[in-house]
Amino acid sequence: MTKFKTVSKLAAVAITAGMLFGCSHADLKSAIADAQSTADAAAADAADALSAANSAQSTATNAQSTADAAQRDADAAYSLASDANDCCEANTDRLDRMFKKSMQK
Amino acid sequence: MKLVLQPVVAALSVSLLMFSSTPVFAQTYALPPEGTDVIGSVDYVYAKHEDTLADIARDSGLGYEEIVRSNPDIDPWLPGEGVKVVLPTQYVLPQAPREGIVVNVSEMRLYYYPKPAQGELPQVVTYPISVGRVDWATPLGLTKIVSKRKDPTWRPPDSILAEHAADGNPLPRVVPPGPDNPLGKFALNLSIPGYLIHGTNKPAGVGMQVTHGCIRMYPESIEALFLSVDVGVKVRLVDQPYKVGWLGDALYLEVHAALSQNADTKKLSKTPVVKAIIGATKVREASIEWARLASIIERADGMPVTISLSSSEGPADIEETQDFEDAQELVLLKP
Repeated sequence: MTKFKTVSKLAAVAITAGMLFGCSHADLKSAIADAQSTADAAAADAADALSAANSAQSTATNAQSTADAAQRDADAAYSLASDANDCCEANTDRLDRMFKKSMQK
Repeated sequence: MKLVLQPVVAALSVSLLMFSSTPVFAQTYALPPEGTDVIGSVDYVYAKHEDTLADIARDSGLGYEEIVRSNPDIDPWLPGEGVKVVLPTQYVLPQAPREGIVVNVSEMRLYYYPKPAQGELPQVVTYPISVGRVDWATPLGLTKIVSKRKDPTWRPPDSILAEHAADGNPLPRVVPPGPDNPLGKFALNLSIPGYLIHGTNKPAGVGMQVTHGCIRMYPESIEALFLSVDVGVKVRLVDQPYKVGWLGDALYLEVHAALSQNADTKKLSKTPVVKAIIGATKVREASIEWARLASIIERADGMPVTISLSSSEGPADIEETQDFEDAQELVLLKP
């Protein structure tokens, strides 16, 4: 963007100088045309960069969303596994107590 | 855990009927001389697909709780094909006269010191037992066998009749001999009225705290004891959740979990253990690994563990102890 501004300023100065001094010199006209071309190219580059940045922002947002969803799934799976483990331990305890009870007279 | 084969143990151990296709009737060892208190050695067996720890326990002359506590990472009901199962067949003898029968309630194990015949070496025979459950604690003290009964009839006392009636499972006043008789085929009456050493019709329950205060044994164990013991033999009923004893220059500690009725104390107090260790080291010098004491008491797996370093051989012996990793961080103190 700084480059674009600088080139734009130079082009503006060249055009102004051309207007002020009558643009009679061919080299000056050519330089002004080059500066204009460079400014246009820089403007196009800036637009492309902005587009790419927006696209990247969108991708990052999507990735964040996907990661959040994955974290929620992992939390849910952990909770299920934890419940299953508690249930398994409770069953083992129940089995052990039943066994001991059955061994009483 | 690393298996330690102590030459002294190997010399003393006379295991008569180990690992046959039929259950072990008894673990029989040569009685060590006074000053040596450890018998047997830890062993292993590989489980078959159809085994449970209860099966392996019976085949090895062990009780249910003993084998479960020695194998905390193994599912008691599905050990799995080829799984290595620890057999805790090493014992510190209880602190009691080496005569007659000694029953250590916390350990759920009976020691029998038969009188040797002329020319025979003295032996000690040990069996797993069941003891009284909560509110039906097995009594402690010195008693004796007053009678022996084969194919006993069971006459449940009023207290047991009332308990069963309250549970909706009334008992008959008289249970004749047979498969439904909880006394099994043999009974030894103690001089404490109502208390017996007897067999069972539920052998899987041996090694647990499940009786009404009687001492229950595997059918094959009570038969062997019944045939060997005489009326009048002294029976000492003791409660020693920890035992300290010597084997060579090494001092061993064996800790058992507190019984259910004592569980309100949660953990075994360390003070009597420390006192017992200090008492043992008064008669023989040893460097005690005090730093390990808490973890041994916490584990309470019933297996004897060396808690001393040999005074004659020094720290090099550490590599031969059971818990080398623990020994890396020892604090060595002289008592």
